[in-house]
Amino acid sequence: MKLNAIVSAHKIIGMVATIFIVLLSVTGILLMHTEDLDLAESYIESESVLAIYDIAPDTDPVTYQVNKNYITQLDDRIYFNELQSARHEDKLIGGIYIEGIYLAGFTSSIMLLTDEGEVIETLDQLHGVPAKISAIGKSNNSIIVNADGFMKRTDINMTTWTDTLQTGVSWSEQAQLSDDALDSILKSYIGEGLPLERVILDVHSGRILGTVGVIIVDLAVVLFLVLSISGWMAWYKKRELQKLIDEEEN
Amino acid sequence: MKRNVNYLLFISLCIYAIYPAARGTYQEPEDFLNEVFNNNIPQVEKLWIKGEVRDKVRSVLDHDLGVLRVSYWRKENRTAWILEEIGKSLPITVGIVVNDNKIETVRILIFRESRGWEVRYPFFTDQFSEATLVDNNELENGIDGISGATLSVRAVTRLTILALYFHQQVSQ
Repeated sequence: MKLNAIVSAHKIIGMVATIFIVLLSVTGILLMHTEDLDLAESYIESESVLAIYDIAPDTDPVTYQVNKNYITQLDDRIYFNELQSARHEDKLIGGIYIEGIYLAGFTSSIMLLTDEGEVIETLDQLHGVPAKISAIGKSNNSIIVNADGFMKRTDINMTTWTDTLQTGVSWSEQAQLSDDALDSILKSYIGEGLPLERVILDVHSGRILGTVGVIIVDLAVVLFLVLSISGWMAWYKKRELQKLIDEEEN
Repeated sequence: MKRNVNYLLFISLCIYAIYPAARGTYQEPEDFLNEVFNNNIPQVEKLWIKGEVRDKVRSVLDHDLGVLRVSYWRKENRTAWILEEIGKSLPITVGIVVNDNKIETVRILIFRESRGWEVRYPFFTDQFSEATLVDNNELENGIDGISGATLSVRAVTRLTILALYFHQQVSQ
């Protein structure tokens, strides 16, 4: 291989490799000083970064005000005010308060909660709760649901459901959670969060882009090897050339 | 070489096809109860999880059950329980029948995790047949684990212990 070709290849590989050298050096230095920089205790708040790690919620929160309290669903998590009460896969469609018990209505179940947000029990078709519920409300001390277009009535024991009319029903309607409460719920959803150390480590290893990222970093390492070899080859060829020039001059 | 690649591709596709199928509802809880009680499901009854019962639940599960009341169905000396416990990150729904303080049936009804679904097979659930509760929250007969399904095995075993304990409570 001619010297010019080696030097040209070395230059191109060097330019490409520079990006990775900078990236790996900076992240490497940061990781070497994790404790000094408190990286393990610093948490990411960027929603886009959290979304990469599937930590951010997939859906918008849905909230119903029930007797001065709020029942909210964020993905499969159910919050009573700002406290996570349970995880439930059905879609929240409303909430009512009856005989000292909070009832969160879902498309195919009803969750009973205490006034502190503790789940008493979740009742579903197995307990006689109708399927395809689209709305929940109350009339005096009766629980009324709209199940697949039919109005059904029951009491707090929910042992028997009877057909009823729609008149005089106070239906549960969606409400807006305050910004502070929403922030608190989002923080609770994310939990302790994503440590900065983890993100830097994943950038360093390429894992932040998944398998593709790891392959890219693997290829970058191969580039470094090629760069070292081409550097040595260029140096060796140049030395040989210099020897020939020196011999010719002598 | 080409044959080997095709073979590997075929195996990968099979694994890919099996995994989603492993999750899901194996039997609806209502169907389970219909089978257990010969299509004549008795009236639902409730057990409140408070006081001593709550303490016992905590000692078996290492955490609260997450509900204050559990439904069960009883006919003579048999009780049926539909309980949930998280394996690794998602709940496993298990149907358990206790007959005269002995396990009659353990069946995985809904499995939501991506791993550990082998607990659904009779070679595992049949081990619980005739199991009884001894002191220290243990089953009289040991249960053999399944490699790669440790957390699911633990969850099902704990629920079985709870069902036996709950049966004792409602039979007193």
